[in-house]
Amino acid sequence: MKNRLRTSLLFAVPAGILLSCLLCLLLSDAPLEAMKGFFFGPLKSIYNLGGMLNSAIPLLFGALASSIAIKSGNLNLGGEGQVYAGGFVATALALSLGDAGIPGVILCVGAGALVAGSAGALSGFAKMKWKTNEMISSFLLSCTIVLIVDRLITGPFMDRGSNLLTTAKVSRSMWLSYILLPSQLSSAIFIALAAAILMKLLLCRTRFGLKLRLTGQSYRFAVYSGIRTGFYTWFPMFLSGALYGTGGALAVFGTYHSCLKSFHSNMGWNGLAVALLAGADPVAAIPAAIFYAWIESGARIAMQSTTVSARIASVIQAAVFLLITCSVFDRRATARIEGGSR
Amino acid sequence: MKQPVIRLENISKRYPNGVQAAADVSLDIRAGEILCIAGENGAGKTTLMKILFGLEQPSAGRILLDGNPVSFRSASDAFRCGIGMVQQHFTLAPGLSVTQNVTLGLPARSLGVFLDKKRDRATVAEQIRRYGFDLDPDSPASALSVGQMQQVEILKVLLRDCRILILDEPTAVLTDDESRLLIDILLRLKQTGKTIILITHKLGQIKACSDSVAVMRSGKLMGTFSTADITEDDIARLMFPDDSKITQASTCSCINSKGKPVLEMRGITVRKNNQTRALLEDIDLTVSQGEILGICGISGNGLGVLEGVLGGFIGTFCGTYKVNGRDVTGLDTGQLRALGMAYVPAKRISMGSCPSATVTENLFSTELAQTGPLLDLRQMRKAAGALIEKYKIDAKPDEKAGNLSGGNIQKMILARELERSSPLVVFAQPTWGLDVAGRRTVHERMLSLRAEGRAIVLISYDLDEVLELSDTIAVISAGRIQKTVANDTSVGRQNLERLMLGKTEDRL
Repeated sequence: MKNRLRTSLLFAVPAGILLSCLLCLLLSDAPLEAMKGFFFGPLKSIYNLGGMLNSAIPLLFGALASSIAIKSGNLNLGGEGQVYAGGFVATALALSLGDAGIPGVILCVGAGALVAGSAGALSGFAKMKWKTNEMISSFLLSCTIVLIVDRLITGPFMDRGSNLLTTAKVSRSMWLSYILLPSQLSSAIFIALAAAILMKLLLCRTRFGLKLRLTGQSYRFAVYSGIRTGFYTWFPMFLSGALYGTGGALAVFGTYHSCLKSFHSNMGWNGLAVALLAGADPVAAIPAAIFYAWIESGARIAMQSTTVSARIASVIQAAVFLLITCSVFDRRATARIEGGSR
Repeated sequence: MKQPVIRLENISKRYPNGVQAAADVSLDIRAGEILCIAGENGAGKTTLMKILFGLEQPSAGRILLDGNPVSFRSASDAFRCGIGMVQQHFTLAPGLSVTQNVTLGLPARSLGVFLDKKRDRATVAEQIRRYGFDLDPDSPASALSVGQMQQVEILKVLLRDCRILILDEPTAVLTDDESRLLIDILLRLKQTGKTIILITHKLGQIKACSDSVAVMRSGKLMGTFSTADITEDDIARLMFPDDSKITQASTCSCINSKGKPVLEMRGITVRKNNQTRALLEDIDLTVSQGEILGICGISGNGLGVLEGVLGGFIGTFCGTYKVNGRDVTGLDTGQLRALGMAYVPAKRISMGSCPSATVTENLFSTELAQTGPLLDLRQMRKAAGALIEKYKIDAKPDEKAGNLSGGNIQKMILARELERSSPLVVFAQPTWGLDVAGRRTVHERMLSLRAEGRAIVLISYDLDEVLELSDTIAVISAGRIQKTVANDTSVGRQNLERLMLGKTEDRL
């Protein structure tokens, strides 16, 4: 496990940095400014740093969600819809509860996780019963969910008084506290870190975790050993969806305070990318998520402060991620992530 | 003196974990000869050939081809120089025909983009005719017997214009008839000028077809000899450090008074979808406590299906299956295990073990119904260590099972399956691909299980094994039991072979 992380990050990161420097030199009028903004921008101020860490939270949840799916031999491509559904359901419930405080937050996040988890579980069930490919079913379901929630937000739940397409804000008592003012970093980061550690313990130190991993590594072997492989096919998908949903709900209570249309954008896919970067390991996902958030923030800050346009910032970001997630650096890592035979 | 076509000079290979797989091996291979490399599993024969074929890099030493030093970074380098290897595990695409499998990956000859099916088929048919293969160019790979699949693998190598062929334990998966056919093919290949290197530990075959034999033990080359000048005993003595290892497991000639029946199968019939010919038809079997029932037959005749029924993998069949009087028809593997079955499967790597999991995890995969949700990792590791010692598995508890040799994987499977006191133990192809020592270990275990009063089913293509160990023998051919006999002196090997082939018995 350690070797995989080392090879993946240790070679990819410097190479990614070099490539982005090169691109800055080529594409920007003020390359040094651009590079400074890109790499040191997120660290320049508390506001930037906190913002960066805050954007790492949904990435971490997404990575955990993807990891547990991967470990069980699945691939959950429905993250976008699951994040959105989690956030929306939590918001809708919160709005109806009013001033519910922290107990209300817990209830709403739970509800969001449950609904998002059910979406994942649906794909899992279909795979178990009819051998439906869970990648396709989760993705298609996600597209549908996004459309439905969009309609709900711009329709019955729309906040007419806001300039944005969003629901009304949830009660102030349900806002998570900011822990690093003046930045937007919310206390949700502690929940994310706890979730990562708990998942690692779950996977490596419990019977459940071992059975899950064996099912993922070799389905036939798991059946032969008498493991209830049906359960370990759909339940991890439920957990995966639930984790994505939790990420979405916590983003609402911690950052947006309402369910903005398309707030989920790319949280699903980036979560998967972070998981691949981390080799589907829950603990490695922590530095991976922070690194990913750093590059994203850096691109944004470079764009704001220098003559690097938004397009170029995206190109640089894409180039870095391409190098990182490309299997050029460690083919064996991706082979292992793909899990056992089915 | 004529220059050898291949010369290995001082080849050594040391793995990062410290294992010295090959130590200072120097070997000459002459053109147009058949060389056998003999040795136990772990002696280094496969490693040496992998180095020659470019799958591994030597830690020291060099390879000379026609007098010129060469370095192979990959199998394609070796192919380009005319060296081809036929591996033990076949890689055929079941949905494609023989021709398609053979020509897969070859550069398209005609227009560069499009396949020339007619020319491919003609080329393949020509090679089949030339070397006497028992193949139809159009038959799908899924319909081939194991021996035929191996022939396709050899064809693949030949069509890449290889003049040097390396075969790794080719007869491990073949019946006696198929082995004889293979040896004929190899001799014919030799006549056309090919050089053949055969990795094997079967002494009879070494004498039957090779010109020279190189014996390896523990990574060292014990010597190279002309086959005519050396006897089987000499070869065996060089392969093993002391004589006692090669004695066969002694069979208990007294058949214990059998206990009550443990396994009862009546009228088992398995039909695939809407096929008229059943895969298994009307199978009746009974195995009692303290009895070994040996089931023999030729690959493709239903033994694999029978294994599937016994192991709970095939759920849809007619008939009844009872264990200890309890009806277990249609139950899956997990449920059968709970009711007292242990199962050592034929597919060691894809089913019997999880290569990417650790040895500890493999050893306890069936014991996960213990109390408590948390794993006591330290206790598990300790228990794994104890099992490793008891079964003499050459591995550490935290090692990935995929790194183990075939023999050690089998020992690991035995350690897992045999430690629970299951009244019924099913063995399928238990010594496939194992060397003499590994085979002996498995046989000894089986006999001690019998002494404990367990009921044992042995499904094997290896007639010698069935004859050595069984109390009762059932012969399967074309999905039916041709005959069930007690294994005493009146059982003729020839008769069993005839029954396996579906012929009627010789009336002596």
